[in-house]
Amino acid sequence: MAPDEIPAARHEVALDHDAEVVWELLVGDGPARWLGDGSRIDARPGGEVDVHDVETGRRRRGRVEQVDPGHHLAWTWWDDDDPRHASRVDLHLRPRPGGTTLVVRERPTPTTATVTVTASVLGRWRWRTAGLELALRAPTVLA
Amino acid sequence: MDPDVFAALGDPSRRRIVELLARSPDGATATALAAELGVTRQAAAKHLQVLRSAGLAEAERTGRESRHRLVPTGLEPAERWIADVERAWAGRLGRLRRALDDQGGARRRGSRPRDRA
Repeated sequence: MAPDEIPAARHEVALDHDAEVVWELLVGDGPARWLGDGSRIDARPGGEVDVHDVETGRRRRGRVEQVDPGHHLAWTWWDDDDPRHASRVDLHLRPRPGGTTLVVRERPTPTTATVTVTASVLGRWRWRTAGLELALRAPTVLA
Repeated sequence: MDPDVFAALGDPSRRRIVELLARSPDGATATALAAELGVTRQAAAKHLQVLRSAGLAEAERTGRESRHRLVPTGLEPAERWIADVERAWAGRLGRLRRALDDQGGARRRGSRPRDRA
């Protein structure tokens, strides 16, 4: 694990299309075709992210952080009613024979919210192996 | 979701401490961890404080120095968050793939659908 790597959700998909074709669906009104009707991403730094997420049934808003057309798009977003819990999404497009691999990573952004969990409440059972794997996990590949 | 868990694990020294504690069922002192990490005891104690605030570690006073252990359920909020987010992206990227396929073969690289070999 790289020193700067925070545990993150990761998912990737192998697509049978060139990066330029995939990119068109990631920006502007393209997201309306897969994130949810009315979704759009203004792909320039500071641009607005407005997603009507059919996956969670929630509206998510955010700001574009980084744009490298055809290669990388990153934004920070949050539930419309809960702006304190934001997360950062990074989409990377990588050429592969016959198309493009799209890799998504999402991680919570550092927050000033202080959440105190009292250790004594949590019990003291054995540390689960699964827990450690979280911090050192291998990429999930789902084609 | 408990963002503190992610912030706590965002630091390489703290991830190393988590690994060391995972191998010490009886716990470890800040002094021992500091020696292992090659940092001052104060630095190790500060990292342990962050891990405790995030619910990842707990301390027990035994004699002169506290012993620190991992809290087994400490990572559960983070695991749940990751599982939920990965499930959501699996759904979204499935729809992205279908949207691309719906565009027809005209803009697809090559002219044939993907092999099912």
